[in-house]
Amino acid sequence: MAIHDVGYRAWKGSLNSPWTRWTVITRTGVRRAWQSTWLKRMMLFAWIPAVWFAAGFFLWEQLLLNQDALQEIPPFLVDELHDLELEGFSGGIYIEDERVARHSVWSWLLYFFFRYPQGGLMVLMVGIIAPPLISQDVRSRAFLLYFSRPIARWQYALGKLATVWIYLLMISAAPALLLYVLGVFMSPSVQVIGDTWDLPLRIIAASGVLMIPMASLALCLSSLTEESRYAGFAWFAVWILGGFAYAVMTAVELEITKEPDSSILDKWSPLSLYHALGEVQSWVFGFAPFEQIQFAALLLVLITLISTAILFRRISAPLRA
Amino acid sequence: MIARSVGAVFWFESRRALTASRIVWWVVLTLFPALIVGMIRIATSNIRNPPGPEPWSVFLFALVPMLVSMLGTFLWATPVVSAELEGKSWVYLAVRPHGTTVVLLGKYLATLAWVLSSAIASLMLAAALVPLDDVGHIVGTILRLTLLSCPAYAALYLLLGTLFPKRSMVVAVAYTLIFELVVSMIPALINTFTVQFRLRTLFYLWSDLPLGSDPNAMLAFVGEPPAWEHVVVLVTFTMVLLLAALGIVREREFSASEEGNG
Amino acid sequence: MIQLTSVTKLYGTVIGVNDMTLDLSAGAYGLLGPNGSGKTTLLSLLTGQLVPTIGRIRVLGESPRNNAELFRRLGYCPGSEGLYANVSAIEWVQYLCQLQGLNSSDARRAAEAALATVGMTAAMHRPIATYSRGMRQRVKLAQAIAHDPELLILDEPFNGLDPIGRREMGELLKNWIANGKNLLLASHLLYEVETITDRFLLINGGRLLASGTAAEVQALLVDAPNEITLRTTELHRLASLLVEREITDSLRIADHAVVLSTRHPGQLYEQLPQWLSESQIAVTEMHSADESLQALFNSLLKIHRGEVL
Repeated sequence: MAIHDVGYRAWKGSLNSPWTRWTVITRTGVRRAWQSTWLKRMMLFAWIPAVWFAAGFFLWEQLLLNQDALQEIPPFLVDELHDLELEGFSGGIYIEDERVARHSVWSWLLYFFFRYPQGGLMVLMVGIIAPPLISQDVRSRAFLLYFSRPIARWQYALGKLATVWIYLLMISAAPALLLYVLGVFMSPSVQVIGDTWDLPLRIIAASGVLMIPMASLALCLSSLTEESRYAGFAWFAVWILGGFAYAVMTAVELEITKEPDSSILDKWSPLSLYHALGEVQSWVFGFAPFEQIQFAALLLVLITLISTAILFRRISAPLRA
Repeated sequence: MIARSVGAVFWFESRRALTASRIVWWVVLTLFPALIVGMIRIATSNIRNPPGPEPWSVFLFALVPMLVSMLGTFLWATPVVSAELEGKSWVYLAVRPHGTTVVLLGKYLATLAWVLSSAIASLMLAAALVPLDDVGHIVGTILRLTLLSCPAYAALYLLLGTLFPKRSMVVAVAYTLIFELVVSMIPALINTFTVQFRLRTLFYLWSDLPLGSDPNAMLAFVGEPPAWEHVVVLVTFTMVLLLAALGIVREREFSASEEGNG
Repeated sequence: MIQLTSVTKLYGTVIGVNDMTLDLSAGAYGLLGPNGSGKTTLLSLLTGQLVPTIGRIRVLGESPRNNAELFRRLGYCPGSEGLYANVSAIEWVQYLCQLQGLNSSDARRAAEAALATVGMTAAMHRPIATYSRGMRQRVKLAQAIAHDPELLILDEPFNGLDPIGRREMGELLKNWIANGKNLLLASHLLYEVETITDRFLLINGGRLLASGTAAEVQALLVDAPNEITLRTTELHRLASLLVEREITDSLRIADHAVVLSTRHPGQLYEQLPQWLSESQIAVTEMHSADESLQALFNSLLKIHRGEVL
């Protein structure tokens, strides 16, 4: 039988759109990552803070129903609330405008959720998922399999990025949106949606702030080496060195400044990715003006652009022998 | 014969590690403390009361025996087993006489050589930038602490790497965050089992730093004299961790299928 | 040389080796089995990388687990690559020789000799990353023989070799055996093993199906159906004749030949000439597939799968 009759036959079916081909890479990446027992444990662990914050939503709504209980709040908590300067409150804990106060408290809870527990878990989770995503393809020559198909570089990169995005969404936007829905259900009426309609959008924006630069950076590091452990080390080293530098410089500044204020913390936040992320998220949730976080935002934009450029360059490079 | 084999592993691994990426990381870790010291100098250049010996001691302690030692040993010691498993080369080493033992010891020594060289170089560079007349005493203290912290952290990360070869990096980060940074600050018996507590205590005892406004409260975070007791405990920790790592790698089975899951 | 006593190895609920008992005297053996049959698990047990879940293993009279003295007498070439990319062959083999206990200069000499034996002298100073697959395979063999072990265990040593390389590897192994050394060679390619040794261990599904020489294994199959091919121009007449004589288990006509399966090949060979003469049927060619190890193995697998009673 002639070879052209054996396998190379005209196919009468239709190909999927090239705009969706990257989803195959994403689905495979998500499934492969999910095989890790550690990741499953971490995912479970990542939702525990959501339970804690759900309790916060519940307590707040109960306080609104029974505002006399505000008198029972311990003094140290009153001072904390006073320092936060939330809108809708006066004198620390006295509610001036219930609707505005609800929006402030919900925003603050959501911001705190993103900033602290999920911010830290994100570092660990991306440290598990991202390092082998591209480095193993280079090491195992899987590039040959990918690029011998009609797949463009942008589809490959997007597919890999989306793998990280999906997991980050599962620990950031998904629990945060669930918290919002829980808050609505625990509030007196559905009209609270009218007061807080912007919060789901802010949640998505804060997730985007988290996902886009972090995934780009992690995959950039993964593309630079054939050994995933070095990509993993580089990922953690970025956070550790940046966090350390930030801690030292802010400690020095607070020590020498007679009247320390939050501008000192903002000044040094570009040193630390963790704090830069936190700054931008505080703007997303309305706790800081853009002027205050512009350098942090610029840092994240630069990280995204440079990491993406390096990533594209690396996946376009010829394979080493 | 074991000593000769350990030496062979040490030299082979040290030569094999002379790659561009490793040298880059060595340079980054070496220069980082000097960079921070430089930034502190710039930030404090125009103040009336610049930092004295005590703050500079604290900075150098945080930078060298803590940060550089931890990160350096984290990079080198944690993937000792996982690197061989991922590269499917572990079996070639394991079928040699005392193969697993000599490989682990040889790589441990290679780790120490690289990290100590980086830590000492970083200390010298950073100390050169410290604007104090007599920085020698500080350097002497930090040097002694570095000579204790590097072997201890290397043994710790080596053990974590043998216990969790598949996810050694993440486990080591989590362990460091939880135990060395958080648990070591809990004023109870548990913090005495951390390397950080011992290093911190020795730092205070050898630097003659005052214990702050409330000595009783501080003593919960810093141990009591004599210093030699803490040195003995730290050295004992190191030996125990190393022996545990050797025992685990000797008794554990690494199958051909496991070698594929780096 | 090698004794296994009721050895079973479980990976959780997956059986790697299933109740295997063996007693091999000194010599050379081929370990044959398809992919996934348990060859690598068995070799890992013999080299002390794994501990049997049940049973006992002895190699050269000793337990292989963490046995430094045994490892001095054992050379192992695993199936996986696992070579360091940025070192040269001579550096790597010398390093492994040093781990065997040789001093630096002795290790160097041993490494050079081993690499010369496998034909890698010219390339031994280049980084392993620049080698072809066949060259890497040779380097793997070199590290296994450099310390002159008593027993050489090889897992798929012919992988990646071109026909010339296979021939050279075969010659090397034959010389190895001729020098009185012991060899256990694992492969899924039967023709490779047949050229090296005539003693086989056939495994599948973690079980030992048969062991011995080809003739001994053949004798096991005396009651197993043999497949015989008869080529003739009078296919249907011959087929009809054979069916009438009630000597075949099954019969088919394929590709201008009659292919029959019979449990009584001896009887068929004895009586067939007379039958053909009486019927005036000319047979131009006759052969039995069971003369080769492939057919033996296929028959054993059929028995193992219960396809033949």
